[in-house]
Amino acid sequence: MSTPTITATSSSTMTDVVNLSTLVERVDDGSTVGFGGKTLHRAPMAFVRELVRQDVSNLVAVGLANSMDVDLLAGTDQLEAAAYGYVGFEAYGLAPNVRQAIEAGELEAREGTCYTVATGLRAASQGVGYLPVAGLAGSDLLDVGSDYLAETTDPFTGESTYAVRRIRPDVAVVHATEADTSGNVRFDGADLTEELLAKAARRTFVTAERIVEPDAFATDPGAVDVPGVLVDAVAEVPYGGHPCSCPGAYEYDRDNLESYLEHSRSNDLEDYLEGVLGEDESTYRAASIDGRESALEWQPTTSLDSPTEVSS
Amino acid sequence: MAADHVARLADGGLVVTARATHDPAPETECTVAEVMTWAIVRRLEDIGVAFQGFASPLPTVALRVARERTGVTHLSASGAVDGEPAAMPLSTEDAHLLEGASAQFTSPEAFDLAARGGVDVMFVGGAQIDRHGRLNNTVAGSWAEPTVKFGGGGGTGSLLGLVEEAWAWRTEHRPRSLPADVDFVTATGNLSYLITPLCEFERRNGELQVVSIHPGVSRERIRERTGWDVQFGPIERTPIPDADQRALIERVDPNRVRRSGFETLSALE
Repeated sequence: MSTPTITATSSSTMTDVVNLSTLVERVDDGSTVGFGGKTLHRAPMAFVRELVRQDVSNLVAVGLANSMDVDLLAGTDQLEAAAYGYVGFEAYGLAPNVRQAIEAGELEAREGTCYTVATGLRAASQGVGYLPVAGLAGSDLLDVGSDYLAETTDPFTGESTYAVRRIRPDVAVVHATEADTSGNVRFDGADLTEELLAKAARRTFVTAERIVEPDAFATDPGAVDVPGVLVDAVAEVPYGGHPCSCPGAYEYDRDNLESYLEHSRSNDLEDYLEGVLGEDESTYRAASIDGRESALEWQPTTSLDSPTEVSS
Repeated sequence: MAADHVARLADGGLVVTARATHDPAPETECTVAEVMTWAIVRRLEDIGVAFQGFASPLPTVALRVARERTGVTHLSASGAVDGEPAAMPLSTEDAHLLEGASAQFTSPEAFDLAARGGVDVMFVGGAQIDRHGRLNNTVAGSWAEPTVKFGGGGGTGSLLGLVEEAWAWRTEHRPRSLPADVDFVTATGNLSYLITPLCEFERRNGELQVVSIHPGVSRERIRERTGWDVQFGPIERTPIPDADQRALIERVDPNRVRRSGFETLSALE
């Protein structure tokens, strides 16, 4: 990693509205790519599928807590390394392809914690080379992660502390509920690391369930989650988070995720991809979504009983 | 997701569909999952602020119940503060946890809060937990030659030494996941409590000791299933939640996500 230099996140204030394949063509082989969303939620899956279609290679994946986005790219052998706090499928199990690739020594694991990855991204967003971080005392992660985690000394007190090297993605990829043509982004639900990634990365690419008219958010600018000034290009991609969830739009697709996991565990990922990938996202939606829209639709959870009095 | 797992019958009864694969005993009303949930609920009585990360359905249900009873502040990795969804989701990063929430507070903000001393309890999982209360979520075997790669440092890798107390839970109790010494120390620090399907441990003098045994479990079974020469402190019998308490658990968690991860569950009375 070179000496820190302070440069703007974006060289231009213009945001391009493009299609998905054009967006992904802008990702070079060997890029470091940060993925927004957390675990099964708002992962930019359509973007990942297009990375697979275009076979962009030797990528370094970055994220706090990821699932199928990073795991699929490990399964298609497009990752050189992953810098992560967690990759897994929560109650559905370990990440089969990441697991296999690391166990086989084919994927460089830059393991930290969700907090160290966040801190590395914060360093990039602040234009500094590293930041101190709390925690980590006694962790073996310090031994295996000496390229990016270090024990150091507080220059003011002389006390021991820990430092995280900056993590500066070449590209941050964010999936959103909606984006306007200036790249202002809004999502339903809480921020799932998207703003942090957009501030840390050299360029930010957004896929959105829908593109809305210019200045759609002008009456309520506080509703914008990632301002367009941080965004380089947007593409409209309905179901762009599927089979992960897009809060407010659709639930995660349990059948699809379980099919992916089963195929991956039995070394049959190609078979899964053959069935769903297709030549573009319209083919994907025809194979994986059509007819299932209402089953996947996001709905508030419903109560099944009336309140109960309880003794202590 | 709720609609996938539970359907309401015309007469108001419930039918748990075949898709509720996370519940190994759909016909059974009270199992050790409810005993464990209630044990955590009781323990949360005097706690101010608790944080829950991903992949933690049982503690998240307990937090939701405890909030109803005694008002703990529940911070969730989903970004929710005091979320009150009508049905708990299986993923504990799920935006459904924002339903009924009073505010949003993202997980990096919760990490910061822990770092400055503001989190009383964090719930932690551990692929391996050892007698010293150290966690391994990184690898079985060694880093150079892993036999199993686990999910990674997660939230706990940094937070175990920062929170006032870390409480661990496991859905199975066996020697390979409760070894004398973990294969890899992902985190060490303030783990003070562990609950398993057999018993509760507290860390005393630096070592996890059994303090409560669940109904129907013998000391011998705990010895057999623990990877170190386990010590028994003054022992209590973990209580079975009564009908009202079970009804409260069932009300906040009608999909029974608290039973996720258990291979088998049998009836308790």
